[in-house]
Amino acid sequence: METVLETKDLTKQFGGKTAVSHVDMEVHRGDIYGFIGKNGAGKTTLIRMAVGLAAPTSGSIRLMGSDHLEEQRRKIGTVIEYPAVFPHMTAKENMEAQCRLLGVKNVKKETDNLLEIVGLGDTGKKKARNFSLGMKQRLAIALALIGNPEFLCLDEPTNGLDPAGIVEVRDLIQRLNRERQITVLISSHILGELSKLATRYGIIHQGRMLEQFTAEELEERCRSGLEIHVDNREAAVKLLHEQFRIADIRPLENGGLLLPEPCTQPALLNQALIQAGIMVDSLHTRQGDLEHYFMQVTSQAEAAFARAGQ
Amino acid sequence: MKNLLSSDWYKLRRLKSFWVCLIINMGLALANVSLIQFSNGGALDGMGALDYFPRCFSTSTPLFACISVSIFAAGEFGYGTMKNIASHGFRRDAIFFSKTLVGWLISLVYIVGYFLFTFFPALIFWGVGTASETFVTDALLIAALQILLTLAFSTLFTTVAFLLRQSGGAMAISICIMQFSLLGASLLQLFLQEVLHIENQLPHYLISSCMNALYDPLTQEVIQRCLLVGFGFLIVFLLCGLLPLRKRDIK
Repeated sequence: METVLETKDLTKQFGGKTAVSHVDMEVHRGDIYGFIGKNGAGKTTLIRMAVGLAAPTSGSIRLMGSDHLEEQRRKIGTVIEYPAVFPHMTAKENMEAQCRLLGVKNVKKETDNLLEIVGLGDTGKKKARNFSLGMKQRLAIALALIGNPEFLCLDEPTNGLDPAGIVEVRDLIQRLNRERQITVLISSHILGELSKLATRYGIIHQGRMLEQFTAEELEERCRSGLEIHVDNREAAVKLLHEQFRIADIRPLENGGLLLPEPCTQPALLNQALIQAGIMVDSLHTRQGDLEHYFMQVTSQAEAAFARAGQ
Repeated sequence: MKNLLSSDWYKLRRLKSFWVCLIINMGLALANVSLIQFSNGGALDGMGALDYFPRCFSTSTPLFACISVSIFAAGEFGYGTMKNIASHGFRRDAIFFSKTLVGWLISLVYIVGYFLFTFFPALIFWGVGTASETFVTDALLIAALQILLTLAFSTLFTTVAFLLRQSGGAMAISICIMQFSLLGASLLQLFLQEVLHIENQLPHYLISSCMNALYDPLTQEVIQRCLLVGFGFLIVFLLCGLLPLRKRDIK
């Protein structure tokens, strides 16, 4: 599969502090890649390295399968941290300045078209300083879309937006991905929103990439139900199937079993397993969403880092 | 580079402070000539516009250039719009040169503005005056040297703006350098002479001193000094702005 962004062993240190540590990351063409991490996890630093705003301490970056980064970066649109616009200019003037920068031929057509797409077509002579945060954010996205980029890097594009603004930005990103075949890398804290949007995910924590997975894999991992850990999985499956008529029992990667909800009362189930001589190590309800999955993965990583003495 | 310049030129035209400073600069020029005209009942000692030519270049022009260049260059960092440029694969050198060139353009516009609003009113008030045989060459030399020195100052302002990345701070530091470099150079001269017994003319080798020297009749020594100072500082300031930018991250 063609990658638009590929990092290998990418590391960034500020003084003695490592912000990004040996990250391998792949964003495939056509993805809406949800980049997840807590504040200070290294998301923005990694994006900034990818788009050339920060130099890596070590490691490599490939864009559109090429090492000629300066050339490839012409094909990238970015919105990083906050909407970067000239406050003393109107939306059209901001667009024209960027069009000139990127050598766009038909400035008026490109400007009108993109402002229409982001819903700022009727802002007229209003200066950007008088825009709401949502409008500024949409203007920043329009600026990022100039020159028909193949790849859009959006760092926290929904920061500070009201619920309606968040929905607008989400719809816009989906539309751009679907209609213009733009690959999108989007980092966000609002995991609920991200899960409605992303087709692939990467979780970064304390500068390290913990996992990368597809939306389908996430769905599988986040399936809600009753998770049990026993000493004999085969015997437990047989018992649950025969005694409680539970059909859809899924073995989990962590050695447990996932029972669909609602199946039966956990207490009765526990009793039956014990009576059958099956030791129950744990039994709990599993919440099925990205937020819980993220918390689970990061807390496991934290424990692992602590064990490793880091 | 062409695209960068085109975009920067567009941004400059929409920078209100550029136009405000230009108007004030031209207003000051007109006020200076008017003050001489109306406080002395005419030109001094039968002076004509040609005699006044060296004074058609003001040392206040760099101050206005400082304000505009600082706002223009450092504003990109303040608004975060530098990210929109740097993330599109433009080389840092090209970004800096584009801003420097537009900074030079700002200075040139201010020089021309001040000149026009000094020379033509002087012409109206005092007439042409008498031109010496060497007037044309001297006038061209003075103009060229004043422009060179102002461009050196302008490069300093761009460099400070790129180093500090904040309009207000850049403006303050640049003004301090302009205002207090003579004091610093004089103290250093004193130290070198009195303590280390090294004879020197350090304060003469400042941009502002050279600009002032051009008000007096031109000598070979002044021309050489202006060329040395102008080109020397211009190159040093260019390197000071360019080299750190290559390494530094853009926020």
